[in-house]
Amino acid sequence: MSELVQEGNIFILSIPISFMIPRVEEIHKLLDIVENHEGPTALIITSKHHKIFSAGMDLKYMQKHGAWTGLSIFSALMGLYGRLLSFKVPTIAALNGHTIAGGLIFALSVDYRIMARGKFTIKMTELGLGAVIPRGGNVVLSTKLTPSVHRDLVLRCKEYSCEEALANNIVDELVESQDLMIRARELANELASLGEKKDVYICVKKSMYYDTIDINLKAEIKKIEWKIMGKEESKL
Amino acid sequence: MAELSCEKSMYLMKMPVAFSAETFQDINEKLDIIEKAQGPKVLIVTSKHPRLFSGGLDLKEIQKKGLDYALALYDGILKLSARFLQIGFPTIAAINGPCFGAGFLLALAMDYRLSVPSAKFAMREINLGMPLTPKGCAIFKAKLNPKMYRNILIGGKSLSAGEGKDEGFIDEIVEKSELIIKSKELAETLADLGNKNEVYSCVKSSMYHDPIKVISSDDNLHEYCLKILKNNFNPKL
Repeated sequence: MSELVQEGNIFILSIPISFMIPRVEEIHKLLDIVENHEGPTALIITSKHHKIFSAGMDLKYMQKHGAWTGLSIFSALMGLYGRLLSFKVPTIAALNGHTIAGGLIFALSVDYRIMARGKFTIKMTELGLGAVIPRGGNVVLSTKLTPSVHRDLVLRCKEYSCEEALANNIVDELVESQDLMIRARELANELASLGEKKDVYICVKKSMYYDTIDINLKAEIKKIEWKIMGKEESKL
Repeated sequence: MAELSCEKSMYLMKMPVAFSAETFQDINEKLDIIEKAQGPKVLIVTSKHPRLFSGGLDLKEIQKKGLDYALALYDGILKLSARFLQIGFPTIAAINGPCFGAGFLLALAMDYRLSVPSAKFAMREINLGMPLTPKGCAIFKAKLNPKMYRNILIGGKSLSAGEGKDEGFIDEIVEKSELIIKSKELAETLADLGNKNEVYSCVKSSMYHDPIKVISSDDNLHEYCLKILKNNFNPKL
């Protein structure tokens, strides 16, 4: 379950460590509350788990509901990425642990990333699992990262330590674990004034990322694109 | 008015620090002259002012003439920048001081940027409640890394020349007394590439196909952003 806490102009959204459709819908509802807040506003997104920020889509959910239904989570997630890319107020991901696959793309869809120092990894697991990364996910990676980091994440399944993530601009800041939320709040307070004129903020973000947003918001499952490698389509 | 001088194949243009409608017309005419010249050529652009490279659009003129004039200037800087993006000879911005708004956009539209250590770079549109449209963002997107693209357009802060060098949008930092000398040294190494104008222009048009296309085509988002911009327009900026 997600949880939204308001502290004056700052909202803190705690997400569950994996995504399934009802959880994405719940996140959308909580995001509505943040966007409807008047005056200066900023949003911090984190998780309550002790060592995972997000593991991406929920593989158990997929197994339980069958691959084809399970895969519909991809289009729901891309809708969420598209929304965050054009969110009306400044957004900060406070990465409190491992940030993996769909969870990494989620973190990259927000404006700023602060990570807790620790033995946490950042990686895309798809190629290793024989799965495809949809175009919507790839376009977030290519928009927010440099070409060589995008390649190494996707085509080599390179695992980045938090220090490497900082050096490669995957995250903006690295802080001690106990300081993570302090620093996130500090940055949120600094940015909140830009979240007052919401029409302006969303306009600039849409202008900046319009093609990435478009691709994600219009994404839908296409059997050919989503086919899990090595399996017959009929089994999906 | 801009001042244009020429030494062998090397052109030096000194711009006024603010862009009015006349400035755009004048700069475009001077670019026509350079384009027509035969043989190797290269252009260095700097400012007439001793300490300021560019303050962007001419706010005094905008205060006098209002919103429509401001929008015409916005269109003017987009067209001029798009022209630089595909012009058929190498271009160098010799940045001699602070470089804001439309001036920053134009400097990025050139091929190379040398800067004095004291220069500052900023887009203050987000602070002023005047959102850039996709056309205004396109060149930043093409020329900046993703982190700088974000920091400059939605961070609302100014960056130093040192940060520019670290993040790759400034090629070299040089002392003020050396700025034009170093720019000319670089220009000399590039002038031959400006001999075959159609080749140079063709390569640049291919490289920057996306921003050129965005700037030259109309879309709904551009109109939507302009509506917000109009709502927030404050002539007393």
